[in-house]
Amino acid sequence: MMMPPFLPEFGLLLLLTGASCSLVMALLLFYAAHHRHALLLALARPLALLQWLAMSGSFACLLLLFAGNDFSVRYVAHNANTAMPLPYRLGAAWGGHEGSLQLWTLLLSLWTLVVAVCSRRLPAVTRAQILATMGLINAGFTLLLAASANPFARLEVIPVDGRELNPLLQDPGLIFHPPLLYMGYAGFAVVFAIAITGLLSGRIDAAWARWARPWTICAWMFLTAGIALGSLWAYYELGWGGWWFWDPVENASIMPWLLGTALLHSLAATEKRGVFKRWTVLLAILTFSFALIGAFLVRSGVLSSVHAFTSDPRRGLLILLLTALIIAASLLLYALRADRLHGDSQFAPLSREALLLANNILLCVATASVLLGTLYPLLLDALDLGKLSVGPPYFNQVLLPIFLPLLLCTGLGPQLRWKQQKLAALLPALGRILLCCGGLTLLWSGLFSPPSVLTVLGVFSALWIASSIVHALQQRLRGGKRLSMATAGMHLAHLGLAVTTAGIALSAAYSLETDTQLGIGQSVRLGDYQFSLLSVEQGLGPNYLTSTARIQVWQQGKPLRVLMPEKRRYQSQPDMPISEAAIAAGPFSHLYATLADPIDNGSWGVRLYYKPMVSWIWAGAALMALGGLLAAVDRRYRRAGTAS
Amino acid sequence: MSLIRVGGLVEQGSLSRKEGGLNVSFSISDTAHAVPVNYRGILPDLFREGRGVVVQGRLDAHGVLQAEQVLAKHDEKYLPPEAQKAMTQAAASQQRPQ
Repeated sequence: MMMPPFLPEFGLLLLLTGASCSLVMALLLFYAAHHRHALLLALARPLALLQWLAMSGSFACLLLLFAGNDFSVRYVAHNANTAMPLPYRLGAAWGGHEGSLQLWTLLLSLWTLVVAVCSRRLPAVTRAQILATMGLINAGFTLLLAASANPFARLEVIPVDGRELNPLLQDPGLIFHPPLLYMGYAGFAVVFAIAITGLLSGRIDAAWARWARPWTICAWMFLTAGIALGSLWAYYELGWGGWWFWDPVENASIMPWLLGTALLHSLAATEKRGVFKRWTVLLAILTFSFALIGAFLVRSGVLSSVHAFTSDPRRGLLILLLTALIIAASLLLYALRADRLHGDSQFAPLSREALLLANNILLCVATASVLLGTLYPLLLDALDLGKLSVGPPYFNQVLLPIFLPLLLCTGLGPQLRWKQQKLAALLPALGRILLCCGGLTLLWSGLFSPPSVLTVLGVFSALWIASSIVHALQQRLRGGKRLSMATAGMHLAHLGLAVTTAGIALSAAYSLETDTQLGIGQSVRLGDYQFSLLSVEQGLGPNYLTSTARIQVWQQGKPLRVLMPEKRRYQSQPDMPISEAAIAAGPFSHLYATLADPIDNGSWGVRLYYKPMVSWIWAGAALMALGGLLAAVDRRYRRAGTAS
Repeated sequence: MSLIRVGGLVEQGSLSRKEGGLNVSFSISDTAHAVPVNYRGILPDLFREGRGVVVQGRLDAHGVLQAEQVLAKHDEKYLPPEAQKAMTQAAASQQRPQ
């Protein structure tokens, strides 16, 4: 492909233009908002459009450089080569430190544009303050990107071909997972900016919360989908059959998700009842802070993990400093202004508000526990108190007692009235729900002989949520009330949580696995299934050699499926073989096979798993994201959003 | 016997497969001390002699680590922080007597 000669320089120029537009937008709009300058306020939308155009243009240049294999650019030469298929070369644009940072700034500029377009009903001053806050953040990160991690930097000596992206990343997961995740991370900037604006104006009311809700839900929806996709990718790519490893980067993504979930719920209480105002604002600040930490801490090289790009902490230090500055400045503003916010109303200990409070407390404790487990080893090391690692046993033990009551609250909360719930009116409903889910749990226990109390608790909580949803819908239909999109979305998301819970509990309880060696024609039994190795053939992919096994699966003597796990050797890294697992995925179980190395005289190491209900984990996450989508498009968020 | 994690380099020439195919033994070292390891199962993709590895298991009466899990990180440059530190210390103590 013919490339324009100065494409990298043009890309950098556009990046700097985008940063300048964001900076000008921020300064101009803060000035205009302060002086109520109508003419300048009218510049908000054109400026938002301009900064997005420049940022997209710059990112398009980066994609073109990857598409055209321009190895004079260091970032391209380090992350792609000519043998890689085009989709992965494009995905490689965000496969490294520089590009992922640029993707983040691009998506933040996109959110800024969407806010500018969808804020017609807001007062011009409020809109200006929100856009200015977002612009300031983006200007900071974009300038830092250009100065410390310029993706367009040239190499002195141009290599004939590039290095290769880590083969593990050469997967469709790379194309979808980072953009979705970053859409979520950057999306929390909107509710952060709305919170800052609320603090500046001192007006946190129902209209404020109503305007903040759909933005929060959208960001949360993207983050949910991004995390779930990452987990699915790890499950099929890493070949260990696990879907969550409590890796520092996973922890960094689950923390803003937990806080964002808390924020969704406290915003609901703030909008409907005018309570938790200060708390909601603080939570909005914290959620975005953790989203920043999630996006940047892991890239900084401070934490070592499979996700860390750079083991040179100096490069990440500037980014961490800017992140710390944003967090500190917003907390300072909060400290100065929060005392002006007052709640409008009271609520009884048994009320929907009380349950939402419990939800918030539990989610925040869960976040704090994850944070402790992630940072504790770093802290001890920094204080020279010794090295230790914190792994799954800590997280599982600590989080379980937090999540179980949370699941119970999820079923109970929607049954309660706002302000005050009379116990006498609640008891018959609770009785019916308990009877339903208790009966089903007993029936299930009788049929499947659960191996532990935990499995029973998991299944019970999932059924508890599901039955309470059925009950709530029944009540609503009987009352003749319409089901709003927001309510339907809430129930769907809660159902998703129940489905995920069931998937986690059941797959943990009933999974089987075996490591074995199979010669051609030999077979092994795992549960109800028989696996026989038919053949192993050599093949050639676009940039790798591969050994592909054909494993016939039999169920009670009948042929079921042929699994074809692979072992790939990429040309650029021949001594780093990559296993590609083969999965026969059904709605109720997965059969999972990984091919290891040949052992001797033609037999191969094979790892086999039977994983029942594991797909429910991601199906539940998909339902949660879909629930978020339904709620976000509810009509009442599009009605008069003007602050009173 | 409690579950422990040991990090280090897989010693050159130490990897051997026993009859039965999936039983392997090797030793891991911080360049000063070495621990013999027995493992039955499939070694991770990146397991190589001379590379960093983390083994989780229990020490038996003969001082052999009976591994339950062998982890090699999916990055050829990666060395577990614990192993890195142990090796730096070992290198320092080996230099001191001279």
